[in-house]
Amino acid sequence: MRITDSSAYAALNKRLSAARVDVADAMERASSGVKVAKPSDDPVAYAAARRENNKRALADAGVRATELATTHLTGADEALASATDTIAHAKELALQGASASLGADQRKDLAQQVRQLRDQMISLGNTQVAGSFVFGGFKDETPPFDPLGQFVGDSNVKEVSAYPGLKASASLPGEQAFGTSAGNNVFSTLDQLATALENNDQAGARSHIDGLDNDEKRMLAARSRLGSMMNGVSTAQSVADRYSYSAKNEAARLTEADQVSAVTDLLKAKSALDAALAVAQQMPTGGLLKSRS
Amino acid sequence: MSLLNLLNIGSIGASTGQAGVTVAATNLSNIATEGYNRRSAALRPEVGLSQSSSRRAVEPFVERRLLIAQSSASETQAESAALQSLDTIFADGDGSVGNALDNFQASMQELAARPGDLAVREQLLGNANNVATAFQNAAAGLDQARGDANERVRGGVDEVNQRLRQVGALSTQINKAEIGGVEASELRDRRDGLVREISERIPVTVIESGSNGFSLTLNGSQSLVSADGKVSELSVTEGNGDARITKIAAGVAVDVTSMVNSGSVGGNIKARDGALTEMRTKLDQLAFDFSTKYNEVHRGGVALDGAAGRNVFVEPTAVAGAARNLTVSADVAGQPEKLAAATDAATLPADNRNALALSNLSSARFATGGMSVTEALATLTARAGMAVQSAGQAEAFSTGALEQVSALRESVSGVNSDEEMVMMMRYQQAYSASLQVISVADQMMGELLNLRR
Repeated sequence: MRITDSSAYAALNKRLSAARVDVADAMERASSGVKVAKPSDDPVAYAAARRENNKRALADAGVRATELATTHLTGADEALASATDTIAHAKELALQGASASLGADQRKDLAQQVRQLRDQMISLGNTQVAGSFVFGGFKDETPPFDPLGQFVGDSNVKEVSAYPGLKASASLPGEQAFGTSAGNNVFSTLDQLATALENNDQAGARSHIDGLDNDEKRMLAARSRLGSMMNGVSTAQSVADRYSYSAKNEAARLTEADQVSAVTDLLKAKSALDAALAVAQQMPTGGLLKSRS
Repeated sequence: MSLLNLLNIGSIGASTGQAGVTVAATNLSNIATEGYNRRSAALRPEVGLSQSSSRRAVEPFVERRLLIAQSSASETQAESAALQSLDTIFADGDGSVGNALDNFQASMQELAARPGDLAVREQLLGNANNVATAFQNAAAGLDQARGDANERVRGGVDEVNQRLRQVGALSTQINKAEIGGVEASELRDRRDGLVREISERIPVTVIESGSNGFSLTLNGSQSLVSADGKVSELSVTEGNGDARITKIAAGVAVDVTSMVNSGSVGGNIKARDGALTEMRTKLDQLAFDFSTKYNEVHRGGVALDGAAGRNVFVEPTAVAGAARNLTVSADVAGQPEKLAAATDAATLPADNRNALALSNLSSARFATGGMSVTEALATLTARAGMAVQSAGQAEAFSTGALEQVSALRESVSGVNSDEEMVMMMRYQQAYSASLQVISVADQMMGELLNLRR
């Protein structure tokens, strides 16, 4: 095959161009740390990274949602802990009221304290966390207990989504902790106790200790359910956290360059370019033309 | 043989040497001229050589292969260039469909967590608007790429017609110039160059029968330049917004678009009717599936005002154009309280059951092909990436093939400076020898004339 001057230069030009492209690509990978920057770099890896990015966005949103749910549940739990203490305090007052050594005025003082505990209990039932009344069910924008202790929220349990399809219960309707509106609730027990004490009714005061015991049991059972919910939300949050973490790692594995190989590739590409440039300098110039001059 | 004849032989030899040096010098001076075919000196016994009788070193088989390789390389280069925008349209990043969908779906989860929070609802509406804008922009990007391909088809046809006219004129000139049997090398080089330029744009076949039998056809069938230099130009018509190529044959306009299957015009048509159309159709389908499903679930929910039956997005009437026309519905636009997070008007405002149902759509397989929206978009992205990658690989392959054929053509028709220098020395020697012959003949003639004294 004849080698003409044009074909020799064309071949050299091609090699130099290719070597420069390789160097530019290798520099881009080494400096940016990204090996798959656009879909055509590796369509399958890019598409997989797209799925992982979506997974991470959803998991991160789920983590935020479960954090809020945890805040609500923690607030509710603290309220129920206080409510349990309040019942214990009311029981102490009832025991004092049932004592034969107390006079009518002293029982009236106790009755006043019980009324304060009842108001406190209503406040606890209307606990608000991050703008939501945590015992209101779906009606969380208005106090779930009215001043009479009537439950005006609803009995729905809120659910939080940690990830599409991964849900956890995240609210306790107030009536499960404080009792129903039909009179079987802690507010009416405290009311009745206060009335008995106001009326200097020693036996009546004693009779409400059982009622307070029942209210306390209901409260403890509610706290137990709340604890289960917190565990459920915490588990869901952990799953979402893991999804987010693994999605981030997988997306990075799919698209990010290994620094060692990126730098090695750059060195190889530079060597190839140097070699092509050295060959260019060795190109015969002139040939017979030169020898004749 | 007379002494005068000896002088004549010396004269022919000198002319031959001079002409040979001229041929070599012409070759050397055109060593870098694009499309120049090496001239060779064809000696004829007793006649010698004159410059005008030099012939081009051309191998018709190689020239045919070159035209095919040229068309193929130009086709793949054009297709690859036309598809480059797919990488940008489907790349992740701010404003991309992928990011907008991620944020929209994430804000559905935020809504489920805070169904009564107007700030969360505002954010969701903003993200719904971003999804619509991202789909619109992607569709506009694909339309722009198709529009650009159409423009290049129109421009390419204009360039082809311009060159066809020049080829026709040159053929007429060549026919006239070669009546005496002398090759019009320069004119032929110019015509070959123009044919190569045409083959960069459309697939053409050269048919040469005899010295004046040059004709050019589109892909071996439709005549573009006939043997008598008559030119049949191509024209562009519009069909469904796309450029179609037609040609008048026997007085009838024939759609020859399908015949233009290589060259840069063919590459643009292939990109336009292939990957760009496929991506646009699939993007529309995705936008259609996405908006109709979210609307369906949203309509089943109840807003903060207790009303149901509202759409999040304007309900598409057809798949075609669904991406370009995707917009947030007037039912909810600017009215975050009208997003339906609840399922029951009696359980407002913290009822998040419909928000949870909407949130679950992120993984629901309702998109065409039994995929989730995310999977469908990922598949579409992979398809776009593969289209660009395949076009790039085809370009590399066909460019390599063109380089091989070009090297082959160069080996036949190209100029090697060493060879030309050797030829120049050879003809210089021949010229010197011929002058010696003339000198000897002159001496002999003089000696003969001196015999009389």
